[in-house]
Amino acid sequence: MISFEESMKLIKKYNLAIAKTYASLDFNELRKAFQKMEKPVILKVYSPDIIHKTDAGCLFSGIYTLSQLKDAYKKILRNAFSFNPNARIDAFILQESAKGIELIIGAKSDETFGKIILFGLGGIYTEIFEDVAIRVLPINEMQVESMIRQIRGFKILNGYRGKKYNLESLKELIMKVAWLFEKERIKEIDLNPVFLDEKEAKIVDWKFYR
Amino acid sequence: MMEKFFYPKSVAVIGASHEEKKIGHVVLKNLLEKFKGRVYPINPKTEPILGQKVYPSVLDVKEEIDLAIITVSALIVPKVLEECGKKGIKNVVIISSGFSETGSLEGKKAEEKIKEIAKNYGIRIIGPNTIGIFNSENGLDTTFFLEKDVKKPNKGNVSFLSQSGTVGILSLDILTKEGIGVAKLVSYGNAIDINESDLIEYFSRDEKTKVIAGFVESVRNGEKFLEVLKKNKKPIVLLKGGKTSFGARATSSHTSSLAGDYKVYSNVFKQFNVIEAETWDDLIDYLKILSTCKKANGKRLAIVTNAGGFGVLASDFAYKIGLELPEPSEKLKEELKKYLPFYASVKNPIDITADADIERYKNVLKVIDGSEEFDLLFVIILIQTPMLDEKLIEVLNDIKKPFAVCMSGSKADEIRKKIDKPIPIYDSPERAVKALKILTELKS
Repeated sequence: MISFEESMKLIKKYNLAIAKTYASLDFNELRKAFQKMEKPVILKVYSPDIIHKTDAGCLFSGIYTLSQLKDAYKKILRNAFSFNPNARIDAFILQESAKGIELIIGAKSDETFGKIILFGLGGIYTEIFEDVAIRVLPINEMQVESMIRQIRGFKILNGYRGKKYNLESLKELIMKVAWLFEKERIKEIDLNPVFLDEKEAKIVDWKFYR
Repeated sequence: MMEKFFYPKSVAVIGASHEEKKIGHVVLKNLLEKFKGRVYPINPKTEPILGQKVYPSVLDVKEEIDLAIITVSALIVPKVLEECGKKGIKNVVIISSGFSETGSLEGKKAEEKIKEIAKNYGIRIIGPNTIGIFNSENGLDTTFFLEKDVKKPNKGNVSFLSQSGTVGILSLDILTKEGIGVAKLVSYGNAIDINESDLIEYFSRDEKTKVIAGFVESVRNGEKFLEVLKKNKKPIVLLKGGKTSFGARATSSHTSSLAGDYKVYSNVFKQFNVIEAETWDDLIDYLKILSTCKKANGKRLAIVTNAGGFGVLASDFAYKIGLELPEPSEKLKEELKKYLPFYASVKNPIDITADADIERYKNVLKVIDGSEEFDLLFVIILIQTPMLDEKLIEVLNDIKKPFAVCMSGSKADEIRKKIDKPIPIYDSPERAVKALKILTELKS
């Protein structure tokens, strides 16, 4: 997994939309940022040694107050090192609470067919439904569209009980990720969850492997 | 290059055997009975077999040999292959097994050896560990099964490729039973040279092939496979073997655990316009309709039935899988009523009632077939009524629209055995409707 700094470079270079994020190792810096952010927020760790943050007790959501933030910070620090005493911690990430439906966008090299991109229901639904569509790169916009329509969960994305989702923004994000994966020397990408609502698609958690 | 595999003028059977039950004997016998070309039995023991002169080696044959079929034991394959090379034979089918498929080091080494010989002489190989080639057009049949054990299909437009020999031989038999004609069939075994991509490429250009079908366990050259699929314009149906992967490694990333081997295949099929048959039944069902019908221009299905219950099952399933069942227009209804009793239903399903005779079927089908209101036609026949018999089949031959028929039970089976033209007849309404849906998914 590449470092936090490197990951941010890639995100900026390809103009990938991410949830409002503030990163630092220093609690005072985090506190300053916290005061300016819309509540509640999420606090989590960015560490190449801690892949599943929730399982390791390194992600806290629903933080409204400064004392909650302080508490979360301490717990994460403790949990991270009890999970892995040698864990390299790149940053603490303070993030807005994204809204919408949780999706996954991924990319990897398949042994037989080469570079592929994956899209589907993400977050807690990832493993339960395994509802994903896969395409071999390169892809065009029409193929991205067919990919989105292919998953069973498309009925939700297409508007359900008055809820709407910005599919154009989702398509754009998938195209950008595909573009990045074709150009950069990256072995695998895991963007999960990506939140989609009526306004836009935003990456909440990202992992790039080299 | 591939042409010589399917249309050789002369064939040598290396390992032609004097013993009736040996593979080398059966292959020779099949060729002598049906193949339109010269056949040379090769065996160091040169007493005649089936009245034919036997040559000790291909090098003793003066005339040119286009194709050699090797049936000898794995140990002798390198020697006879070398002789093929010296003779200038460029196309070889190696039926013999005992190579890498055994998983043994010796097998692997032997395979490397024959690869090397083939490379030195520029020989193209199908196999080893295969049943080889069947071509209905010129009677070329290297499969080592006798006609009395395995029915061989009539000429037709389906060409079949199979990694597995058993699937290959079974498909010959089952396609025959289901009345599906075959152009060519190849089992390519260990595929040390010719593989699925070469065969799909050849079939996609072969004039006799309208539909390509295959059983594929793994693709050897992904890049070429995709290239070939991109160029192919014919309907292609593939059944993937090895859908579950026990060897899936534990991975930390979601992408890796989600993009498992089979899932990638299945999506690649979608992306490159391959119809995926999920089961063996699906494969046969799809081939039946693809070999007889054209692409449907839309999803509007008309169901004509003399059996209300099957009509209901068919419409339930059609809705479920996304076909449309529009009601006929008033004008069309009036037209239909001319041929129907007052108690018949002219909605959709069009229930022509259990007392329908052949004439009623004929008239109603003609009206629907000629109507612009439907893209697909499904005919359900309860053939067991006293009003109906096998003459009804003739009526089906006149249908122009993409269509399928459901006719089941013992009387239906008896009648189906006598039909000589390929008609897409199914046992169950659901299987028929599922096959019809495939016609709406074709690109060309």
